[in-house]
Amino acid sequence: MKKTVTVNISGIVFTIDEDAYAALQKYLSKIKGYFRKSDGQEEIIADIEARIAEMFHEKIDAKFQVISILHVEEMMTIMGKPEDFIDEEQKNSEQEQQKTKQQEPNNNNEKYHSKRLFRDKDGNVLGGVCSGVGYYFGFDPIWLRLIFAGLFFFGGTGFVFYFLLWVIIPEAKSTSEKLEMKGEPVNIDNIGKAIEDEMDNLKNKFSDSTTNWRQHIDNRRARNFILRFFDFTTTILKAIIKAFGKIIGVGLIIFGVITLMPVFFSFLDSSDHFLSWLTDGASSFSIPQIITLIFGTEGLSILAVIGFSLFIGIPAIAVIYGGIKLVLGVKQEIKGLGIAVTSLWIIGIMLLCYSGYKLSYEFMSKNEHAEIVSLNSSVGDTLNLYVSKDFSDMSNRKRHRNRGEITELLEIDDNIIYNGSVELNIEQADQDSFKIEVLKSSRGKTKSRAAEYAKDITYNYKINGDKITFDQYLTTDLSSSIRGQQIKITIYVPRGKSIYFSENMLRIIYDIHNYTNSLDRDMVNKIWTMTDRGFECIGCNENDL
Amino acid sequence: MDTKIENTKAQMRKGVLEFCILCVLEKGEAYPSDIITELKEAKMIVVEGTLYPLLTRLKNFGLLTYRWEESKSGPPRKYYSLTEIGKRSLTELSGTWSELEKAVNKIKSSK
Repeated sequence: MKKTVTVNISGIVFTIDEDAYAALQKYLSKIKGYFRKSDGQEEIIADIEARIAEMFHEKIDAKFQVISILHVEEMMTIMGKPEDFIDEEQKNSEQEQQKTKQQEPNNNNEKYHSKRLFRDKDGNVLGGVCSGVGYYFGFDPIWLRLIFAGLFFFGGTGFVFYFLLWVIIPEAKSTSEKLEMKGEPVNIDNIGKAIEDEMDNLKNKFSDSTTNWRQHIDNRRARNFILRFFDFTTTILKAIIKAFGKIIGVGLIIFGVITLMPVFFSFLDSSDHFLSWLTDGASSFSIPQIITLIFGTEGLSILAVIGFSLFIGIPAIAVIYGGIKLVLGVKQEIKGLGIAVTSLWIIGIMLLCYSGYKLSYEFMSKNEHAEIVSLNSSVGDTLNLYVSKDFSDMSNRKRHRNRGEITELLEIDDNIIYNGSVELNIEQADQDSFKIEVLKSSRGKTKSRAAEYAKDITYNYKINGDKITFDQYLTTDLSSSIRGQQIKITIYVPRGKSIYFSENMLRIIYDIHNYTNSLDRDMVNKIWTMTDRGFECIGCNENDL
Repeated sequence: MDTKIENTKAQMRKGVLEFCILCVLEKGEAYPSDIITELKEAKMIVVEGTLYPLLTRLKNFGLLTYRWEESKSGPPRKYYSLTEIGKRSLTELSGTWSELEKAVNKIKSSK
């Protein structure tokens, strides 16, 4: 059994064996190479093809419907090898070449001299400019491509320059031009070699699939202008899509790496700086640390870490993988990879959900622990409130107003958790003296656990005459878990007495109820007095409130 | 040396070949296969491929012209015939050939 090909020779359709086709193709290519310099080359080839068609046609009858290698060999014997053709011009040019070859055997530059600048359509990305120039000067075209790609970002000069070169430099179409481009001497031997190379390529393509073959034949047939134009536009479009694909691919890789990096680095101790840079300084702790703090028990935190890694890491790796595929132009799919990766990702989500569900029990109950301090009446009528400055170098980190969330966490340092969940409120006192209430609250699995957590909270403030300085943070020991620990300070102000808020009090005051409904940021740097109407700023300009 | 002799032979045959083609066509129009058959019989050419570039060149020089004719066995054929220039060239070449023949014979026999 043999595979056959349908060919059109001089307008007649023949069915021809695959091996016979290859031989015929090789033979015709050789003839074409031989006559490349003759006038009326195309006509000669057409005449020869017509004669071949005639010979084949005589062979075909009811018995033999397919042209075999024997028919081709017979035809070749009758027609003769190109070398046996007697053609004066050809012989002369060949002799000249042999002469020049003999004259310059010691000249190392021979190769260089015979080189010509062509665009290399066989090794192209776009128009083959870089590949051709690379051949001419003898370097790897990748560097030139990089330069052009780089120049593209300088106002598109690379593009304009490339386009000019594309227009100016001719394309190496014929075998001899391709040889000249590569700087190999153009003689029968080399042409024969080049054609054989081409044939081998074709053969490989051919054995790959017949469709490729058909496409190749179609390309060769694309003689008429419209088809050629169509061919041209599709080539350009394909190149543009290819180029865009590569740019998108690079983008995807960068995006994927940026997503993956924090996940990866968060598992290293030295990650602090990287993560705090990424989150604009909002937090500076490694993910395993915070996970252990929240999830407490070892087993649960490991599950959470794995779940988190899968949940973030898999899409990131998939994006990088896709980007690499785009850049390298790989189309191959690995079977079952998609399903495997998706199921891993779903497992990641499930682990996160499970650990989240388990965790919710840890926050079931809430308990509080209040400490009340009454200030004696020797304190003046106005109480001045400040915030301690020792934390101010840390407090460039933005404070989030989402109460009770882990985003309140400010710093973990020397086995102490600094937690910014501190808020201060003002109420009217039912007695004649100022009273400060500090309410420590926490959540826990049970009421008693919550109470323990609440008691473990350390919170400091300093009373110095009529000046009170509050810490901006509460601290807990690293050994206790994060369970929504919170400090609520309430200052009870008797009627007729006043409070002064320093500017940095803004860090802890939260939605203080007042007569003018002023915002927190309008309350600082002012003296507020408790009156019958409520908490108000006497003598303040209304526009400032 | 062998190749040089081969080369000279080819050169000689080559020069005469065009003349022979014109001679064949003098008898009337013919298509390449006819010309080949005749030249092959006379052992002027060995392989067919030789003919096609020569025909094309003679045609391009204006010595030959052709017309298409449908063929039952294969693609349409080119029937070649002499142009006026071709006829004149042939007369001239015939003269040259006779002179050459005489000259060569004279030299050969004068040994």
